[in-house]
Amino acid sequence: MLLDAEQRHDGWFKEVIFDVCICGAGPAGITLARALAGKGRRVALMEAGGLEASAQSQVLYQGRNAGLPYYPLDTCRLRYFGGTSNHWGGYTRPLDARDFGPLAQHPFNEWPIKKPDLDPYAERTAEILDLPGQQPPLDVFGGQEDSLEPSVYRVSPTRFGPKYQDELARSDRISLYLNANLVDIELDSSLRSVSGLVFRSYLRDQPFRVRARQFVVCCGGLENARLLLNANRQLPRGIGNQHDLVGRFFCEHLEIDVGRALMASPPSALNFYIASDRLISDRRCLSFEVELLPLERTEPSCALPFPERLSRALLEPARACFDAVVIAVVGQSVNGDSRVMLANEVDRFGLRRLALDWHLADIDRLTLRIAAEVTGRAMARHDAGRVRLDPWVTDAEQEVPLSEEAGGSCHHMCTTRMSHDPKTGVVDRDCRVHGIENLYMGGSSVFASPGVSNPTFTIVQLALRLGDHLDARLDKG
Amino acid sequence: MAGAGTVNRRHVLSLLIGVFTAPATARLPAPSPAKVRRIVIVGGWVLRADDLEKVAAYAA
Repeated sequence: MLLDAEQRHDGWFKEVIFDVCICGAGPAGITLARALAGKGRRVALMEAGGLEASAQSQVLYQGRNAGLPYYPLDTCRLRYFGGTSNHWGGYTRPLDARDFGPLAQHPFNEWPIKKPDLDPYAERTAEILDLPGQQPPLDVFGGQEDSLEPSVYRVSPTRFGPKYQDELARSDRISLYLNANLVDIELDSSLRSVSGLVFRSYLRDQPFRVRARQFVVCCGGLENARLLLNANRQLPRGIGNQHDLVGRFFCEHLEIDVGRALMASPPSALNFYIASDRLISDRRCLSFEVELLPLERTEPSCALPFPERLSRALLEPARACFDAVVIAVVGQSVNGDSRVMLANEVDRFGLRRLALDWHLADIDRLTLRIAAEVTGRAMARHDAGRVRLDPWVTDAEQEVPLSEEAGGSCHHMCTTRMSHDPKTGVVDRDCRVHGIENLYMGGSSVFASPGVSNPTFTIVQLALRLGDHLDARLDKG
Repeated sequence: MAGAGTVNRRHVLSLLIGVFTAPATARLPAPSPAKVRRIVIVGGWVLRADDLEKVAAYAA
Protein backbone atom coordinates (compact mmCIF):
# COMPACT_ATOMS: atom_id res chain seq x y z
CA MET A 1 0.00 0.00 0.00
CA LEU A 2 1.40 3.36 -1.04
CA LEU A 3 0.39 6.41 0.97
CA ASP A 4 1.44 10.05 1.14
CA ALA A 5 1.89 11.55 4.59
CA GLU A 6 0.81 14.92 3.20
CA GLN A 7 -2.65 13.45 2.61
CA ARG A 8 -3.03 11.83 6.01
CA HIS A 9 -6.08 12.24 8.20
CA ASP A 10 -6.40 11.98 11.95
CA GLY A 11 -7.45 8.37 11.99
CA TRP A 12 -4.51 7.01 10.06
CA PHE A 13 -2.27 5.89 12.88
CA LYS A 14 -4.39 6.10 16.02
CA GLU A 15 -5.53 2.50 16.21
CA VAL A 16 -2.68 0.82 14.41
CA ILE A 17 0.26 -0.93 16.01
CA PHE A 18 2.52 -2.32 13.34
CA ASP A 19 4.73 -5.32 13.92
CA VAL A 20 7.69 -3.33 12.68
CA CYS A 21 8.17 0.32 11.75
CA ILE A 22 11.09 0.84 9.39
CA CYS A 23 12.38 4.33 8.80
CA GLY A 24 14.10 4.78 5.45
CA ALA A 25 13.23 3.15 2.11
CA GLY A 26 16.64 2.52 0.60
CA PRO A 27 18.27 -0.86 -0.02
CA ALA A 28 18.28 -1.82 3.67
CA GLY A 29 14.76 -0.62 4.49
CA ILE A 30 13.10 -2.03 1.38
CA THR A 31 14.88 -5.37 1.73
CA LEU A 32 13.90 -5.64 5.39
CA ALA A 33 10.28 -4.65 4.72
CA ARG A 34 9.94 -7.26 1.97
CA ALA A 35 11.56 -9.94 4.13
CA LEU A 36 9.21 -9.27 7.03
CA ALA A 37 6.13 -9.03 4.82
CA GLY A 38 7.10 -12.38 3.35
CA LYS A 39 6.83 -13.81 6.85
CA GLY A 40 3.37 -12.32 7.30
CA ARG A 41 4.42 -9.34 9.40
CA ARG A 42 2.68 -6.00 9.17
CA VAL A 43 5.20 -3.30 8.32
CA ALA A 44 5.19 0.50 8.18
CA LEU A 45 7.91 1.66 5.79
CA MET A 46 8.50 5.37 6.26
CA GLU A 47 10.24 7.31 3.50
CA ALA A 48 11.28 10.94 4.03
CA GLY A 49 11.21 11.83 0.34
CA GLY A 50 8.77 11.18 -2.45
CA LEU A 51 8.94 8.86 -5.43
CA GLU A 52 11.25 11.29 -7.22
CA ALA A 53 14.08 13.52 -6.10
CA SER A 54 13.03 16.93 -4.77
CA ALA A 55 14.84 19.96 -3.45
CA GLN A 56 12.65 20.15 -0.34
CA SER A 57 13.88 16.73 0.75
CA GLN A 58 17.45 16.77 -0.55
CA VAL A 59 18.28 20.06 1.18
CA LEU A 60 17.83 18.29 4.51
CA TYR A 61 21.03 16.37 3.79
CA GLN A 62 23.11 19.53 3.81
CA GLY A 63 25.79 19.57 6.46
CA ARG A 64 29.25 20.78 7.24
CA ASN A 65 32.61 19.11 6.70
CA ALA A 66 34.68 19.88 9.77
CA GLY A 67 37.56 17.49 9.18
CA LEU A 68 39.42 16.37 6.09
CA PRO A 69 38.15 17.66 2.73
CA TYR A 70 35.15 15.62 1.63
CA TYR A 71 32.27 15.70 -0.80
CA PRO A 72 29.39 18.06 0.01
CA LEU A 73 27.17 15.96 2.25
CA ASP A 74 24.03 16.53 0.19
CA THR A 75 25.57 15.26 -3.04
CA CYS A 76 26.78 11.77 -2.23
CA ARG A 77 23.47 10.45 -0.93
CA LEU A 78 19.89 10.70 -2.15
CA ARG A 79 16.87 11.38 0.00
CA TYR A 80 13.92 9.81 -1.80
CA PHE A 81 12.31 6.44 -2.39
CA GLY A 82 15.04 3.92 -3.20
CA GLY A 83 17.62 6.03 -1.38
CA THR A 84 21.17 6.21 -2.61
CA SER A 85 20.64 3.17 -4.85
CA ASN A 86 19.19 5.76 -7.21
CA HIS A 87 22.69 6.78 -8.27
CA TRP A 88 25.06 4.01 -7.24
CA GLY A 89 27.45 2.46 -9.71
CA GLY A 90 26.40 -1.11 -9.02
CA TYR A 91 29.81 -2.69 -8.37
CA THR A 92 29.03 -5.38 -5.85
CA ARG A 93 30.92 -8.00 -3.88
CA PRO A 94 30.53 -9.60 -0.44
CA LEU A 95 33.06 -9.02 2.27
CA ASP A 96 35.90 -11.52 2.48
CA ALA A 97 36.33 -13.66 5.60
CA ARG A 98 39.36 -11.69 6.70
CA ASP A 99 37.37 -8.42 6.59
CA PHE A 100 35.60 -9.54 9.76
CA GLY A 101 38.89 -9.42 11.64
CA PRO A 102 40.64 -9.26 13.94
CA LEU A 103 43.71 -8.01 12.13
CA ALA A 104 46.87 -8.32 14.22
CA GLN A 105 47.99 -4.77 13.48
CA HIS A 106 44.47 -3.37 13.93
CA PRO A 107 42.47 -5.72 16.20
CA PHE A 108 39.70 -3.15 16.70
CA ASN A 109 38.46 -3.97 13.21
CA GLU A 110 36.81 -7.15 14.52
CA TRP A 111 33.12 -7.82 13.93
CA PRO A 112 31.04 -9.76 16.48
CA ILE A 113 29.71 -11.81 13.58
CA LYS A 114 31.72 -13.61 10.93
CA LYS A 115 31.31 -14.39 7.28
CA PRO A 116 29.43 -17.69 7.93
CA ASP A 117 26.73 -15.63 9.69
CA LEU A 118 26.04 -13.77 6.45
CA ASP A 119 26.76 -16.48 3.88
CA PRO A 120 23.25 -18.02 4.13
CA TYR A 121 21.90 -14.75 2.73
CA ALA A 122 24.28 -14.44 -0.19
CA GLU A 123 22.12 -16.18 -2.77
CA ARG A 124 19.00 -14.13 -1.95
CA THR A 125 21.11 -10.99 -1.95
CA ALA A 126 22.37 -11.77 -5.45
CA GLU A 127 18.76 -12.19 -6.60
CA ILE A 128 17.66 -8.94 -5.00
CA LEU A 129 20.54 -7.09 -6.63
CA ASP A 130 19.96 -8.78 -10.03
CA LEU A 131 23.59 -9.82 -10.09
CA PRO A 132 24.87 -11.51 -13.22
CA GLY A 133 26.91 -14.69 -13.03
CA GLN A 134 30.43 -14.47 -11.77
CA GLN A 135 33.01 -13.86 -14.49
CA PRO A 136 36.63 -15.00 -14.11
CA PRO A 137 38.83 -12.13 -12.99
CA LEU A 138 41.20 -10.37 -15.35
CA ASP A 139 44.85 -10.70 -14.46
CA VAL A 140 47.71 -8.86 -16.13
CA PHE A 141 50.13 -10.92 -14.06
CA GLY A 142 49.03 -14.23 -15.52
CA GLY A 143 48.47 -15.81 -12.11
CA GLN A 144 52.13 -15.37 -11.18
CA GLU A 145 51.93 -12.57 -8.62
CA ASP A 146 51.87 -13.61 -4.96
CA SER A 147 51.19 -10.26 -3.33
CA LEU A 148 48.15 -9.27 -5.41
CA GLU A 149 45.28 -11.66 -6.09
CA PRO A 150 42.97 -10.98 -9.02
CA SER A 151 39.47 -10.18 -7.92
CA VAL A 152 36.16 -9.40 -9.55
CA TYR A 153 33.03 -7.38 -8.95
CA ARG A 154 29.63 -8.18 -10.31
CA VAL A 155 27.96 -5.10 -11.71
CA SER A 156 24.25 -4.37 -11.58
CA PRO A 157 23.15 -0.92 -10.47
CA THR A 158 19.75 -2.01 -9.25
CA ARG A 159 17.48 0.92 -8.47
CA PHE A 160 15.47 -0.27 -5.50
CA GLY A 161 12.72 2.30 -5.94
CA PRO A 162 11.66 1.54 -9.51
CA LYS A 163 12.29 -2.18 -9.05
CA TYR A 164 10.11 -2.62 -5.98
CA GLN A 165 7.57 0.22 -6.20
CA ASP A 166 4.78 -1.86 -7.74
CA GLU A 167 5.34 -4.76 -5.37
CA LEU A 168 5.22 -2.50 -2.33
CA ALA A 169 2.15 -0.65 -3.62
CA ARG A 170 0.32 -3.96 -4.10
CA SER A 171 1.38 -5.41 -0.75
CA ASP A 172 -1.33 -5.84 1.88
CA ARG A 173 1.41 -6.25 4.52
CA ILE A 174 3.55 -3.21 3.84
CA SER A 175 2.29 0.35 4.23
CA LEU A 176 4.76 2.64 2.47
CA TYR A 177 4.40 6.24 3.60
CA LEU A 178 6.08 8.95 1.52
CA ASN A 179 7.10 12.41 2.75
CA ALA A 180 7.41 11.13 6.32
CA ASN A 181 10.42 12.71 8.04
CA LEU A 182 11.58 11.17 11.30
CA VAL A 183 11.88 14.00 13.84
CA ASP A 184 11.95 12.16 17.16
CA ILE A 185 12.28 8.75 18.75
CA GLU A 186 10.06 8.51 21.81
CA LEU A 187 10.97 6.24 24.69
CA ASP A 188 8.60 4.90 27.32
CA SER A 189 8.98 5.80 30.98
CA SER A 190 11.67 3.15 31.51
CA LEU A 191 13.83 4.86 28.86
CA ARG A 192 14.70 1.37 27.66
CA SER A 193 12.04 0.86 25.02
CA VAL A 194 10.78 2.88 22.07
CA SER A 195 7.09 3.71 22.27
CA GLY A 196 6.81 5.41 18.92
CA LEU A 197 8.51 7.30 16.13
CA VAL A 198 7.45 10.87 15.47
CA PHE A 199 7.24 12.15 11.89
CA ARG A 200 6.46 15.33 10.06
CA SER A 201 5.61 15.97 6.45
CA TYR A 202 6.65 19.08 4.56
CA LEU A 203 3.39 20.95 4.18
CA ARG A 204 1.72 20.28 7.52
CA ASP A 205 3.13 21.40 10.84
CA GLN A 206 1.41 18.82 13.00
CA PRO A 207 3.63 15.82 13.78
CA PHE A 208 2.27 12.29 13.79
CA ARG A 209 3.29 9.15 15.62
CA VAL A 210 3.70 5.62 14.41
CA ARG A 211 3.55 2.81 16.92
CA ALA A 212 5.00 -0.61 16.46
CA ARG A 213 6.41 -3.50 18.44
CA GLN A 214 9.86 -3.15 16.89
CA PHE A 215 11.55 -0.17 15.23
CA VAL A 216 14.38 -0.03 12.72
CA VAL A 217 16.22 3.06 11.47
CA CYS A 218 17.68 2.52 7.99
CA CYS A 219 18.47 6.07 6.91
CA GLY A 220 22.08 5.70 5.82
CA GLY A 221 25.50 5.68 7.36
CA LEU A 222 25.54 9.37 8.24
CA GLU A 223 21.88 9.98 8.97
CA ASN A 224 21.42 7.02 11.32
CA ALA A 225 23.87 8.57 13.74
CA ARG A 226 22.46 12.07 13.28
CA LEU A 227 18.95 10.88 14.11
CA LEU A 228 20.06 9.08 17.27
CA LEU A 229 22.02 12.13 18.41
CA ASN A 230 19.08 14.43 17.72
CA ALA A 231 16.73 12.20 19.72
CA ASN A 232 17.90 13.90 22.91
CA ARG A 233 14.67 15.11 24.46
CA GLN A 234 14.56 12.28 27.03
CA LEU A 235 18.20 11.23 27.00
CA PRO A 236 20.29 14.42 26.73
CA ARG A 237 23.21 12.72 24.96
CA GLY A 238 20.92 11.04 22.45
CA ILE A 239 19.64 7.51 22.21
CA GLY A 240 22.22 4.72 22.39
CA ASN A 241 24.90 7.25 23.23
CA GLN A 242 25.56 6.42 26.88
CA HIS A 243 29.24 5.84 26.04
CA ASP A 244 29.62 8.74 23.58
CA LEU A 245 29.96 6.35 20.65
CA VAL A 246 27.08 7.32 18.36
CA GLY A 247 28.65 8.88 15.30
CA ARG A 248 32.19 7.85 16.18
CA PHE A 249 34.27 5.55 13.99
CA PHE A 250 33.05 7.06 10.74
CA CYS A 251 34.84 5.12 8.00
CA GLU A 252 35.16 5.53 4.27
CA HIS A 253 36.69 3.54 1.48
CA LEU A 254 39.60 5.67 0.39
CA GLU A 255 39.72 5.47 -3.39
CA ILE A 256 42.70 7.38 -4.62
CA ASP A 257 44.80 7.60 -7.76
CA VAL A 258 48.30 6.52 -6.87
CA GLY A 259 49.96 6.43 -10.28
CA ARG A 260 49.83 5.79 -14.00
CA ALA A 261 50.74 2.52 -15.69
CA LEU A 262 52.35 2.04 -19.03
CA MET A 263 51.59 -1.54 -19.93
CA ALA A 264 52.85 -4.25 -22.23
CA SER A 265 49.27 -5.28 -23.02
CA PRO A 266 46.89 -2.41 -22.31
CA PRO A 267 43.87 -3.56 -20.30
CA SER A 268 40.53 -3.65 -22.06
CA ALA A 269 38.47 -3.32 -18.89
CA LEU A 270 38.74 -2.37 -15.25
CA ASN A 271 41.01 -4.84 -13.40
CA PHE A 272 40.75 -5.53 -9.67
CA TYR A 273 43.29 -7.04 -7.31
CA ILE A 274 43.27 -7.53 -3.57
CA ALA A 275 46.25 -7.76 -1.27
CA SER A 276 47.24 -11.27 -0.23
CA ASP A 277 47.03 -12.29 3.42
CA ARG A 278 50.77 -12.74 3.51
CA LEU A 279 51.44 -9.26 2.20
CA ILE A 280 49.12 -7.70 4.76
CA SER A 281 50.84 -9.65 7.51
CA ASP A 282 54.38 -8.96 6.31
CA ARG A 283 53.84 -5.25 5.74
CA ARG A 284 51.57 -4.80 8.77
CA CYS A 285 49.07 -2.80 6.77
CA LEU A 286 45.31 -2.92 6.23
CA SER A 287 43.72 -4.95 3.48
CA PHE A 288 43.46 -3.09 0.21
CA GLU A 289 42.36 -3.33 -3.36
CA VAL A 290 44.06 -2.07 -6.48
CA GLU A 291 42.19 -1.11 -9.61
CA LEU A 292 43.65 -0.65 -13.08
CA LEU A 293 41.39 1.75 -14.91
CA PRO A 294 42.03 1.80 -18.68
CA LEU A 295 42.80 5.17 -20.20
CA GLU A 296 41.83 6.36 -23.61
CA ARG A 297 45.05 6.44 -25.63
CA THR A 298 45.07 9.09 -28.33
CA GLU A 299 48.72 10.09 -28.84
CA PRO A 300 50.28 8.64 -32.03
CA SER A 301 53.16 7.36 -29.95
CA CYS A 302 50.76 5.09 -28.12
CA ALA A 303 50.90 2.71 -31.04
CA LEU A 304 54.61 2.05 -30.54
CA PRO A 305 55.80 -1.20 -28.95
CA PHE A 306 55.97 -1.24 -25.17
CA PRO A 307 59.79 -1.07 -24.81
CA GLU A 308 59.97 1.97 -27.07
CA ARG A 309 57.05 3.66 -25.36
CA LEU A 310 58.72 3.09 -22.01
CA SER A 311 62.00 4.55 -23.17
CA ARG A 312 60.24 7.57 -24.62
CA ALA A 313 58.24 8.02 -21.44
CA LEU A 314 61.35 7.99 -19.31
CA LEU A 315 63.07 10.46 -21.57
CA GLU A 316 60.09 12.72 -22.16
CA PRO A 317 57.74 12.25 -19.22
CA ALA A 318 55.44 15.04 -20.30
CA ARG A 319 54.58 13.10 -23.47
CA ALA A 320 54.30 9.67 -21.90
CA CYS A 321 51.49 7.51 -23.19
CA PHE A 322 49.94 5.74 -20.23
CA ASP A 323 47.47 2.88 -20.51
CA ALA A 324 45.83 2.86 -17.11
CA VAL A 325 45.31 4.75 -13.90
CA VAL A 326 46.36 2.83 -10.81
CA ILE A 327 43.81 3.34 -8.05
CA ALA A 328 44.25 2.15 -4.48
CA VAL A 329 41.17 1.36 -2.38
CA VAL A 330 41.55 1.09 1.36
CA GLY A 331 38.85 0.57 3.95
CA GLN A 332 40.20 2.92 6.57
CA SER A 333 40.99 1.85 10.11
CA VAL A 334 38.36 2.22 12.83
CA ASN A 335 39.23 5.48 14.50
CA GLY A 336 37.23 7.17 17.27
CA ASP A 337 38.38 10.63 16.24
CA SER A 338 36.66 10.25 12.87
CA ARG A 339 33.07 11.02 13.63
CA VAL A 340 29.65 12.38 12.81
CA MET A 341 28.56 15.18 15.09
CA LEU A 342 25.74 17.69 15.27
CA ALA A 343 26.27 21.20 13.94
CA ASN A 344 24.67 24.18 15.60
CA GLU A 345 22.52 24.98 12.58
CA VAL A 346 19.07 23.37 12.48
CA ASP A 347 16.95 22.19 9.58
CA ARG A 348 13.31 23.09 8.88
CA PHE A 349 12.16 20.50 11.43
CA GLY A 350 14.40 21.85 14.18
CA LEU A 351 16.90 18.97 13.98
CA ARG A 352 20.55 19.95 14.20
CA ARG A 353 22.37 19.43 10.95
CA LEU A 354 25.25 17.10 10.35
CA ALA A 355 28.89 17.94 10.94
CA LEU A 356 31.34 15.38 9.63
CA ASP A 357 34.76 15.39 11.27
CA TRP A 358 36.61 12.93 9.07
CA HIS A 359 40.10 11.79 10.02
CA LEU A 360 42.63 9.24 8.83
CA ALA A 361 45.23 7.35 10.82
CA ASP A 362 48.82 6.67 9.89
CA ILE A 363 48.05 3.07 8.96
CA ASP A 364 45.54 4.31 6.37
CA ARG A 365 48.17 6.48 4.68
CA LEU A 366 50.75 3.74 4.94
CA THR A 367 48.44 1.23 3.29
CA LEU A 368 47.75 3.53 0.35
CA ARG A 369 51.47 3.93 -0.25
CA ILE A 370 52.11 0.21 0.09
CA ALA A 371 49.34 -0.52 -2.41
CA ALA A 372 50.98 1.81 -4.91
CA GLU A 373 54.47 0.47 -4.42
CA VAL A 374 53.44 -3.19 -4.50
CA THR A 375 51.55 -2.67 -7.73
CA GLY A 376 54.52 -0.95 -9.32
CA ARG A 377 56.87 -3.71 -8.26
CA ALA A 378 54.53 -6.44 -9.50
CA MET A 379 54.20 -4.73 -12.87
CA ALA A 380 57.95 -4.51 -13.27
CA ARG A 381 58.69 -7.98 -11.88
CA HIS A 382 56.37 -9.64 -14.41
CA ASP A 383 57.18 -7.17 -17.16
CA ALA A 384 53.46 -6.45 -17.38
CA GLY A 385 54.15 -2.73 -17.41
CA ARG A 386 55.75 0.08 -15.46
CA VAL A 387 54.13 2.42 -13.02
CA ARG A 388 54.92 6.06 -12.44
CA LEU A 389 53.83 6.81 -8.89
CA ASP A 390 52.12 10.08 -8.10
CA PRO A 391 54.48 12.47 -6.25
CA TRP A 392 52.70 12.24 -2.89
CA VAL A 393 53.17 8.47 -2.79
CA THR A 394 56.94 8.69 -2.49
CA ASP A 395 57.01 11.83 -0.37
CA ALA A 396 55.98 11.00 3.17
CA GLU A 397 55.72 14.70 3.95
CA GLN A 398 52.84 15.13 1.53
CA GLU A 399 49.27 14.46 2.70
CA VAL A 400 47.00 12.05 0.87
CA PRO A 401 45.23 14.10 -1.82
CA LEU A 402 41.65 14.49 -0.64
CA SER A 403 39.24 17.08 -1.98
CA GLU A 404 35.57 17.91 -2.34
CA GLU A 405 35.60 15.93 -5.57
CA ALA A 406 37.77 12.90 -4.90
CA GLY A 407 39.26 10.67 -2.27
CA GLY A 408 36.31 8.84 -0.78
CA SER A 409 33.75 6.47 -2.24
CA CYS A 410 30.58 7.91 -0.66
CA HIS A 411 30.49 4.80 1.50
CA HIS A 412 29.51 5.92 4.98
CA MET A 413 30.16 3.23 7.52
CA CYS A 414 30.58 2.29 11.20
CA THR A 415 28.84 5.29 12.83
CA THR A 416 26.65 2.97 14.92
CA ARG A 417 29.13 0.14 14.81
CA MET A 418 28.35 -3.39 15.89
CA SER A 419 30.05 -4.77 18.98
CA HIS A 420 29.40 -7.22 21.79
CA ASP A 421 30.47 -4.52 24.22
CA PRO A 422 28.43 -1.31 24.66
CA LYS A 423 31.73 0.42 25.40
CA THR A 424 33.02 -0.25 21.90
CA GLY A 425 29.89 -0.19 19.79
CA VAL A 426 26.35 1.14 19.53
CA VAL A 427 24.50 -1.98 18.37
CA ASP A 428 24.88 -5.63 19.27
CA ARG A 429 25.43 -8.54 16.88
CA ASP A 430 21.73 -8.46 15.98
CA CYS A 431 21.86 -4.74 15.13
CA ARG A 432 19.88 -3.83 18.25
CA VAL A 433 20.87 -0.59 19.98
CA HIS A 434 22.56 -1.44 23.27
CA GLY A 435 20.29 -0.51 26.15
CA ILE A 436 17.10 -0.18 24.08
CA GLU A 437 14.93 -3.29 23.81
CA ASN A 438 13.19 -2.69 20.52
CA LEU A 439 15.30 -0.29 18.46
CA TYR A 440 17.50 -1.56 15.64
CA MET A 441 19.75 0.05 13.05
CA GLY A 442 20.02 -1.08 9.45
CA GLY A 443 22.57 -0.29 6.76
CA SER A 444 26.29 0.33 6.69
CA SER A 445 26.30 2.33 9.93
CA VAL A 446 26.37 -1.02 11.77
CA PHE A 447 29.52 -2.24 10.07
CA ALA A 448 32.14 -2.91 12.73
CA SER A 449 34.82 -2.08 10.18
CA PRO A 450 34.66 -1.31 6.49
CA GLY A 451 36.57 -4.11 4.80
CA VAL A 452 37.48 -3.49 1.19
CA SER A 453 34.39 -4.52 -0.75
CA ASN A 454 31.71 -2.02 -1.68
CA PRO A 455 29.06 -2.10 1.04
CA THR A 456 25.74 -2.74 -0.71
CA PHE A 457 25.97 -6.53 -0.82
CA THR A 458 26.68 -6.64 2.91
CA ILE A 459 23.92 -4.11 3.63
CA VAL A 460 21.37 -6.36 1.95
CA GLN A 461 22.71 -9.49 3.67
CA LEU A 462 22.45 -7.78 7.05
CA ALA A 463 18.90 -6.63 6.30
CA LEU A 464 17.82 -10.17 5.47
CA ARG A 465 19.48 -11.47 8.62
CA LEU A 466 17.76 -8.76 10.67
CA GLY A 467 14.46 -9.82 9.13
CA ASP A 468 14.94 -13.34 10.45
CA HIS A 469 15.91 -12.02 13.87
CA LEU A 470 12.92 -9.69 14.15
CA ASP A 471 10.53 -12.38 13.00
CA ALA A 472 11.83 -14.69 15.72
CA ARG A 473 11.55 -11.94 18.32
CA LEU A 474 7.99 -11.14 17.29
CA ASP A 475 7.14 -14.83 17.68
CA LYS A 476 8.33 -14.68 21.26
CA GLY A 477 5.90 -11.86 21.93
CA MET B 1 63.28 13.80 -13.94
CA ALA B 2 59.67 14.41 -13.11
CA GLY B 3 58.31 17.59 -14.54
CA ALA B 4 60.97 17.92 -17.25
CA GLY B 5 59.19 20.04 -19.81
CA THR B 6 61.83 20.80 -22.40
CA VAL B 7 63.76 17.61 -22.56
CA ASN B 8 67.47 17.56 -22.32
CA ARG B 9 68.13 13.92 -23.01
CA ARG B 10 71.71 14.03 -21.90
CA HIS B 11 70.68 15.51 -18.58
CA VAL B 12 67.91 12.99 -18.06
CA LEU B 13 70.21 10.14 -18.89
CA SER B 14 72.84 11.37 -16.54
CA LEU B 15 70.28 11.47 -13.78
CA LEU B 16 69.03 7.99 -14.52
CA ILE B 17 72.35 6.36 -15.07
CA GLY B 18 74.03 8.21 -12.27
CA VAL B 19 71.79 6.48 -9.80
CA PHE B 20 73.19 3.11 -10.73
CA THR B 21 76.67 4.14 -11.81
CA ALA B 22 76.09 2.37 -15.09
CA PRO B 23 78.44 3.23 -17.94
CA ALA B 24 77.15 6.18 -19.96
CA THR B 25 77.57 4.53 -23.27
CA ALA B 26 75.18 3.49 -26.00
CA ARG B 27 76.86 0.13 -26.42
CA LEU B 28 75.80 -1.70 -23.31
CA PRO B 29 76.21 -5.36 -22.50
CA ALA B 30 73.12 -7.53 -22.08
CA PRO B 31 71.60 -6.97 -18.65
CA SER B 32 72.40 -9.52 -16.00
CA PRO B 33 69.55 -11.57 -14.50
CA ALA B 34 70.16 -9.79 -11.22
CA LYS B 35 69.48 -6.43 -12.82
CA VAL B 36 66.33 -7.73 -14.45
CA ARG B 37 65.07 -8.91 -11.10
CA ARG B 38 66.13 -5.84 -9.17
CA ILE B 39 63.33 -3.30 -8.85
CA VAL B 40 64.18 0.32 -8.27
CA ILE B 41 62.18 3.49 -7.80
CA VAL B 42 63.66 6.41 -9.68
CA GLY B 43 61.94 9.73 -10.08
CA GLY B 44 58.66 8.13 -9.14
CA TRP B 45 58.99 5.33 -11.70
CA VAL B 46 59.02 1.74 -10.49
CA LEU B 47 61.51 0.11 -12.86
CA ARG B 48 63.66 -2.90 -13.46
CA ALA B 49 67.29 -2.00 -13.10
CA ASP B 50 67.95 -2.95 -16.70
CA ASP B 51 65.29 -0.51 -17.94
CA LEU B 52 67.81 2.28 -17.51
CA GLU B 53 70.31 0.59 -19.76
CA LYS B 54 67.62 0.11 -22.38
CA VAL B 55 66.76 3.78 -22.17
CA ALA B 56 70.37 4.71 -22.62
CA ALA B 57 70.59 2.49 -25.67
CA TYR B 58 67.40 3.94 -27.08
CA ALA B 59 68.55 7.50 -26.55
CA ALA B 60 71.81 6.80 -28.27
